[in-house]
Amino acid sequence: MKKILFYANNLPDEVVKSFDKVVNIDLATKITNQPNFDIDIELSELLENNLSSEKYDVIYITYSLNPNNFLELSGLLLAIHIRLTKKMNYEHVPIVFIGFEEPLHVLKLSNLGTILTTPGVFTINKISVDNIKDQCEQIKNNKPRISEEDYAKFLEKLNINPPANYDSHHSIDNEYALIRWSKYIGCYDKLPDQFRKEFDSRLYFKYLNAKNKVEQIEDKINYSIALTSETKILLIDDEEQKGWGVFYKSFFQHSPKIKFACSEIDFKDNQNQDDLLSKIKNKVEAEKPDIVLLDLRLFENDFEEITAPEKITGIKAIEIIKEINRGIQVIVTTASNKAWNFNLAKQKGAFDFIIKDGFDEPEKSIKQLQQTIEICAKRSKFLKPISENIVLAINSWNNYNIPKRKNLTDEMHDNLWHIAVKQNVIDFLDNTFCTIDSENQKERFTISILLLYRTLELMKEFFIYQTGDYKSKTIEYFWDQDNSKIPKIIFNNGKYSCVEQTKGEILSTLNQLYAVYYNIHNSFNDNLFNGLFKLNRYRNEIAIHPDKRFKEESLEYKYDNDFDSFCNDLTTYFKAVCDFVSSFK
Amino acid sequence: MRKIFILEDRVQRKNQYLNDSTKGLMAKLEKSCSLHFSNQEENEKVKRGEFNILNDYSLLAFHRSALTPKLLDEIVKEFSRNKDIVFFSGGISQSVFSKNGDFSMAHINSKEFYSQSAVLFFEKYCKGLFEHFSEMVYGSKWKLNLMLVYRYKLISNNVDRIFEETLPDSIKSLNFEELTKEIHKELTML
Repeated sequence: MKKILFYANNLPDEVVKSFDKVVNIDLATKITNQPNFDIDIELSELLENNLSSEKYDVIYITYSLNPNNFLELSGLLLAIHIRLTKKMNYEHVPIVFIGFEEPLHVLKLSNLGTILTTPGVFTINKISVDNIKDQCEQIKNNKPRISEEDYAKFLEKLNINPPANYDSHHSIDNEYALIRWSKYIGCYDKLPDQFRKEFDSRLYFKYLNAKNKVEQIEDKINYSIALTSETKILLIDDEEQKGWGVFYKSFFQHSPKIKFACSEIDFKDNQNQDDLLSKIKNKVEAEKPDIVLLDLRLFENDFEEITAPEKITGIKAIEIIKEINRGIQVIVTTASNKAWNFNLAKQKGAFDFIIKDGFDEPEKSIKQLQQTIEICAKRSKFLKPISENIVLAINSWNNYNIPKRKNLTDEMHDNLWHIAVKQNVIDFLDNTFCTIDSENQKERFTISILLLYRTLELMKEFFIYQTGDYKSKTIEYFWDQDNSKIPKIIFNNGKYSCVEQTKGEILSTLNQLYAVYYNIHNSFNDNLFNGLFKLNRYRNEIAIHPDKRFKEESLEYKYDNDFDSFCNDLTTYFKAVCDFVSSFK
Repeated sequence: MRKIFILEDRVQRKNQYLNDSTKGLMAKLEKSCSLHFSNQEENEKVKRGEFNILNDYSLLAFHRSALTPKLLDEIVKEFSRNKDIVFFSGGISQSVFSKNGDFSMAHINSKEFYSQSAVLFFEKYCKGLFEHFSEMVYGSKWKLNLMLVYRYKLISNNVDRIFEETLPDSIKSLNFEELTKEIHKELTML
């Protein structure tokens, strides 16, 4: 049998010479010279360098590979690495521990000693060339390789805990999700070398791989996200450079409508949280994304257990993103499973969560990711431009020096009517956005049209008063500020023009709105009037008729069946109202 | 009195690992100025390579992931021959240490760095009452560890002078058989 020995210059020469190959390891020197020393990486490299090319029938290891330290028992660790490292094909080869100590004593010294109780692992504590030879013969005759069943027993007995840092900063879930999801969509090889090196070397991940059989879910599935127009997606994740950036880039590669970008923020180089938040703000303003994939824990303090949820950087980032544009869709991607963080993020405006859980089936997680992005892409298409218009309208209206109402003919109002109407217009516009933003509201689009329309009614009721009534044919409409009769605006031969109002003739809300605009600006606005006309028609022909709300012409129907037409209609209605309000400066 | 400097960029982390009694002892050591946790300003200075603030300390402990690889190299270059150094991190799966002349270097998992045996070691270290650096990780088993190492060095005829100098006389005076007997006794008592 061909024998290889891993030792630390800690065996007699004649014994060492009896092996076919000898690997003398001095971990002590490496520890002293390499401040970033990592025993998992060191042992993985050691195995790759010595077991890749030649085949050995049995592996001998001393309990320690550090000539100055026994109790670290690095030999046990090396043996576990051999069993769990698939690519070298030594998982089933017999391993012999060579040392004076009795197995029972080694078991008492370290949990790693469990490997001594697993099939295919032997010990020799009377160290001599003859004893080694005899034992080798016995192994050859009785247990030249361990069976699959034995291997399963080994895995069952083994218990490898995650390194302590995975409790917090480098969450196991996060990294394991990256690994499994990447394997699932077939981009694992594209992940950064350093990350793959760490993953391929870490004992804990090797252990998870052996238990969860990651390689069996490597089927490449080309996920494409069905979109009708270009969608910009921005990733803000402190581990985007570690591999999440590569994962998403690969995930979106079959979706040509998606323009994906990483934030490229240096998450480690920040004086304080505000510094980082300011970088996030600048990035979102520059990229103008439709969707932000946002991690919650982005700054050092976020990982402290005592940090209040509202102080977590990701939560604050949602507020900032929503201040830039409420229509930007935020999908929180986090390894955290804390319900209070989810609730708070939703309150702040996040649309949904993707939990980075490596232990969950990748198929399920990736499907959810795909569906959530599809929904968000649709939502951002109309919410973003509408939010922009509403903000402009509210800002203009806020700056408008609204005159006091002169004719308090309406018993419902007092001499503070102008203050009330100023606030009401803002509240109504705000409510229309909340309505279309709410996924739970079944008829949200039609309801938003009624609210929009009501906003316009509030304005025309404030600027115009009427006298007389329709029945006695005495009805007349006057401009409140100077009591002049308002003109009647007509559309003829493709042009708007004013004619004199006839006593007793009813002027529609649309006509009164045209008149308000005309009286304020002393001009017509074809685009705006056209938009108001369309809104008026939708309101009168569909919105106020509950039986028509899901019929072909309705926004609700179009949303599901003709999305482009839906976007066009809804944004036209909102733009008309917002432009109308914005025109008051 | 020997002093200990600990660079921990996330001070809350220690509370995650320390229990009530070790918290008390750690606080006592901090109060007596024997043990010092770095503040933000000191962290920045170390990160800028301004190492003069470390002159008064005998043992320097650094949270490894708080520093860049380049800085870690500079620290080793500057201090490995005149101070004891500990690098601790949650990412270290197995604690290891080595001796470099009179000084030691250890890579320790954060959990062990904030363990009871480490904190008790810090107290002994400050008072100059510790016998061997490996006490930090192995507590009362440090002597057994040395005996086990010594036995392998004897059988492989590999006892170097530096190692021998650090051995307590009680171990150094034993021959192979006596050592084996002593080790067996200790292991049986575990």
